[in-house]
Amino acid sequence: MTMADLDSFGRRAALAAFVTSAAWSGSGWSQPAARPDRYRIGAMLQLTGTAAASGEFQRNGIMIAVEEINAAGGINGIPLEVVVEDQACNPSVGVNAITKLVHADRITSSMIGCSGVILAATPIAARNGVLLVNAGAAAPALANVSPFLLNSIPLASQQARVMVHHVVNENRLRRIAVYYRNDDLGQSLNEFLQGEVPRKGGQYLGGLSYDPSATSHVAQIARLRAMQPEVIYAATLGNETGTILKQSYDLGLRPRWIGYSGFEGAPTVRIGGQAAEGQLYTVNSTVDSNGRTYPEADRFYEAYRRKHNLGPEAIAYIALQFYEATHMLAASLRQVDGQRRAPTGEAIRDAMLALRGFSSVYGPTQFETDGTVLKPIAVKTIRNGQFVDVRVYGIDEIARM
Amino acid sequence: MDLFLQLALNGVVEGMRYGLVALGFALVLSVTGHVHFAHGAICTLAGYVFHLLWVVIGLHWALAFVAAVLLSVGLSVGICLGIYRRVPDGSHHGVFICSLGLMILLQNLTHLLWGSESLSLRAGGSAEIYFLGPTVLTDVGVATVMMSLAALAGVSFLLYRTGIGRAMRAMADQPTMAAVVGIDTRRVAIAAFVIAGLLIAPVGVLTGLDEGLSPHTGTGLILAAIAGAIIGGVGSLGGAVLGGLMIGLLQQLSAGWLPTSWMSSITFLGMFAFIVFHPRGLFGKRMRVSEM
Repeated sequence: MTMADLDSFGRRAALAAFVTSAAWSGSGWSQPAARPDRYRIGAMLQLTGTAAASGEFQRNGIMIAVEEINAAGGINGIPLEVVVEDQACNPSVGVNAITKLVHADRITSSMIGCSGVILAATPIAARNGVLLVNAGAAAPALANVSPFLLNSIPLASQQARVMVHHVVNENRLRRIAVYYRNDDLGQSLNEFLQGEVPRKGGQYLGGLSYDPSATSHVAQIARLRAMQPEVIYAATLGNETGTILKQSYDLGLRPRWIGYSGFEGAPTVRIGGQAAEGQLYTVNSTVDSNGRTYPEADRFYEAYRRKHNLGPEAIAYIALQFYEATHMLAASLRQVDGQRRAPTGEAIRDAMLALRGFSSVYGPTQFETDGTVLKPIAVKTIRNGQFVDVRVYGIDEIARM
Repeated sequence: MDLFLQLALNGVVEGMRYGLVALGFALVLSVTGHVHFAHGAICTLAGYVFHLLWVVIGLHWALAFVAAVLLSVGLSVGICLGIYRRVPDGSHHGVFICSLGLMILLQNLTHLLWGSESLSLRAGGSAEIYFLGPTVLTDVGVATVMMSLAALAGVSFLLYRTGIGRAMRAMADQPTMAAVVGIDTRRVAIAAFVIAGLLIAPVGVLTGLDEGLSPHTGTGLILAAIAGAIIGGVGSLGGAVLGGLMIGLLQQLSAGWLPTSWMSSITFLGMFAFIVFHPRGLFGKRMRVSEM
């Protein structure tokens, strides 16, 4: 065989390979993909470990959504199935879970939560063309991580942007200090606010951290007082929020405290007491700007009460987030199926990015190309021990901020 | 300057709390030679029992407090008689390991009974606050300082003015000789654990009122107290209180100028500095129990 023959053979082989791959990838010349007998998506949940209580809510939210989807005809007539794996909010467990979902269960998309697990699992998912949909973690570092990671909830930085806009422009409070948990989420929020506060016309006075295991905040409170802030942004979690508000109030430091969804929880009111009253925070809201609850949220609450005998006040917001993410994935799969494309991670991602007019328990949703999402965000306060809306910002307003 | 004064005042309050823990720890160490790590876990349990009786059941606070003290004393004595004194040959190494194990066991028991969520004995907004010039002090801060001073005075009185106190000083100084001259060493050891139990219960309650409680509350306190006892001089009760006070001041003042994540490390840096440069601590030689 001469070199010319070899060259000619190479060109023919390349042409054959291109035609074959084009057919497989579902582009222009391809045959429509064969429709599966069921669509399967993954769910990597924190079913064990310290955050196990959240995992149960996540699973319940997903299962209610799957029942609704299948009762309404599934994915254009094909049933939807969810493969659940435990990730224990532990990166090494998460890596095992994604590996099993990819290689044993052959899923092409999965819901996920917990920032450490997401950052560990995303490279594996991306390498195998699997789309991850984060419905549980709000760390700012989760933006722009990979084309195969979409965040279906607003990240804490988006919430912080709304909060800073609100206090600077609505409340006319400008001197802002930051008190943050010394972890990835807290550090990245502090960095974000360092730039965002001046951008909005406020004055960033400085950021102080606390160790996640600390129970005494008196030293930091003394330093925060020395900054003479009008507002302190608390990048805190769970019980810590109430403890910090209490100690600050007891020591006579009584500025306006603001924060993100980490504020909303019974311990904030129980521990914070009087100190929690009137403080502001941002969160996804099931209520629109006219004070009406979205019909999808009403339907979800009713289904949850029927299945688990719990009212809205006892349902963790994480249940709604995974319920919504399941519906998002189903809506995207319907589009992929309608176009007769193979349900690859890439195809589902394209469909999800192109979702327009999708609305669920948290109102209208629109994905951004950096993997974040725009949704209405509510500024809420604590009044007489209840979490109440102050104002809901729509996605158009947030996009302009 | 205002920041310095506030941090110094915070340091006095925190330091007095450490001192109160260190006082009981140092007393047991002096009299029996036992490193009583479980002292911290008893502190946590006393706080949780106070929470159960006062907040959950609604008993009068004084009754709840007495119950917490009784539990603390009972547990201290129970540990002394039921575990430490059963260690073969009374080996201090054996007691040391038992004590560490007990601390972990009691922590896990607290976790099992009450969960990992922190509890607060009272909600924000219910504290009385006092202004001292540019500084602020809460009612719990005042109570902590007063309680520590009263405890130091009470323990000093006991050691100097009572028979059991003299026996404790004798045991601390010459344990073998004390037994030879007819001192009931078992009874004296029990008395030391009773006093330790009496001293630690108020710390659990005050910490719960001030910061809230978690299963690990006592662990942080006992570690700081041990560092304080080493700085003050092993075997010196006054030194233990002073060492605790120094740790509190060091932690709070360092937080004024260093990243606050250094606060815990500062405690042990201070302790290591004493171990390396002044191993007897402040009063380890001149002011032993027998010489107080």
